[in-house]
Amino acid sequence: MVAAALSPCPGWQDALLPAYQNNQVYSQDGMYFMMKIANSITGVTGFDASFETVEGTFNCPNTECKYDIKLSGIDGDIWAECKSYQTPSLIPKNQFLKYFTRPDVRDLNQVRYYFNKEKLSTSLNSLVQINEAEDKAKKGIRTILNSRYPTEQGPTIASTIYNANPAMFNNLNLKLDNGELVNNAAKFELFCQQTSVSGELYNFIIVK
Amino acid sequence: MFKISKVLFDGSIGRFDRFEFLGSFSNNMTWILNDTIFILENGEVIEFIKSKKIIQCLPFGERFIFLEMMDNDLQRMIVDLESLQIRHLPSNIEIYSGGTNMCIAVNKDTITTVALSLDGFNLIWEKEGRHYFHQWKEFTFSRELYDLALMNNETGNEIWKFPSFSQFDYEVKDFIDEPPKKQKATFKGLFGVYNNIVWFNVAPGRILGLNFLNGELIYDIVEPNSYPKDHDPRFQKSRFFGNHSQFDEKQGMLFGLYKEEYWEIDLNNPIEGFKLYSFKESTEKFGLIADGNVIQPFTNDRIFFFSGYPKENAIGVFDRNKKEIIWAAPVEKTSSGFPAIRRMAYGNDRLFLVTDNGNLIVYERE
Repeated sequence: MVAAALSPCPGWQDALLPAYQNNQVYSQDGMYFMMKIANSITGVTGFDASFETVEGTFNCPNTECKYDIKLSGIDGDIWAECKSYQTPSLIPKNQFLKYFTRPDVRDLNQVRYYFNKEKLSTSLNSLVQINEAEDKAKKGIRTILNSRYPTEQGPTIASTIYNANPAMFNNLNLKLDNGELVNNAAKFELFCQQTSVSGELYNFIIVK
Repeated sequence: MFKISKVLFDGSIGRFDRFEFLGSFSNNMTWILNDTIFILENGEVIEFIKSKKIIQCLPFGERFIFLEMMDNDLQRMIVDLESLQIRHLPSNIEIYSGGTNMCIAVNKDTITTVALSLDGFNLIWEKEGRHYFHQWKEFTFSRELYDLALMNNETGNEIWKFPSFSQFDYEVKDFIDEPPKKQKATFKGLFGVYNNIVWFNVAPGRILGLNFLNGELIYDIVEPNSYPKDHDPRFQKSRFFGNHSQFDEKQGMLFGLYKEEYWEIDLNNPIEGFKLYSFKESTEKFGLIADGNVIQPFTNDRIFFFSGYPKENAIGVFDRNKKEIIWAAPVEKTSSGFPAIRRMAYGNDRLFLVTDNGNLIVYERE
């Protein structure tokens, strides 16, 4: 599973290898999925490093809120997170906020969340499995967007990420069910409450 | 070249919410900080508008700001930055785009789209239903992901339409062990109109120039004329025209500064094509690269950039004529480390940095 080609990438020796050798089941499972992704994508330039932002933002210590994989993409660097979760809505909110409020993320194509399809669907039909897993992952992310952080009285995650980079979301040309253009945080919150999870907003979610 | 002259707010804004540069007028720079609009005059803050909650803030042209605020009730207003006058709008008029002379809004009572003059809010045209357009200066374009149209300012009707970007659709491989997926080419951003050519960016990696009069495709620019010997082959060609692309309207130049390379297209002579330069030597000399992710303010001769790595966070100055970095310095360290830069702006010989920990750092020339 360990790809020799990836071992020279930053983060490999310091962070990845020790985690790989950790014999806790959750650690092994997460590492297995992350390596599965890293081995099946191109353009990987780094692993498992701290975000280059100050500690304390969103109460997200750099030791907890690392990205999994950094890769080179069409619109600039891409930061990718691999989640082998049965319940996608339980992914850490503070880490999610860090991905989407990075000063250098200016395009939604620069963030990816990979989910393990085998954890999200047991269908033996691969097409059905992908569709079911994708739907479950997207709905989980919709729950995250509608939740509040750091407390139940805090702002919604949707409004926080919108305000950090309004242009990134305005460029998606999102429309509410009644045809209104999404061009402010309040409308973005409403958009995230809509039932449909198809469309440009959720394209950063990929199942494998 | 620059030294810190002052740090405004000093992290006191608390939770980072919104901190945006809105534009400059008559040597004053206007910013929004959470729910306050303020103007900097010679580096000093003149507090201007405070609200319980600013829902939306849109700069129109260089002179107006549209504000949607919730105090006890919803208020919509236009701020004239020249006279500092505020004009309140009826609550049923929801503006979503504005240019030099007019703005476009949806009348929520009648569900019609209206164009209004900015000087007196006189009705220019009205159309049934919601239509979303994008204004650039005095021109009105469609606001769609997969095509581009120019609209008539007097009627709101279409003048021409560049039908679809489907000829630029592409395939992308999410995974090497799965077949590629088809992806649609999408409108990325309008640079502007120059010498009767409409210049815009289509993702992935394409700059198009259309005849302003009839929408005919004249320029389709994808690759540089030649690659410099230091070119890093890891940079896909489509990355040249990413988010770091900018339009220098004064000089008629499209350009981008990214990592160790700088490109430009001279719109006064676009037939010369896309020129790519490497400034690897100077990145090695200063020990930093231009990561291209924070919007880079520029002047006729210089580009100011942020470098998040390989060392601590730093700022640098790139000389557009010499095609090399001429100055760089780390961002002032705070007790919690070197803060990342979220926004940069330049005006009145001052460089402004908004840091991730809520400071507005003002640099002055030494």
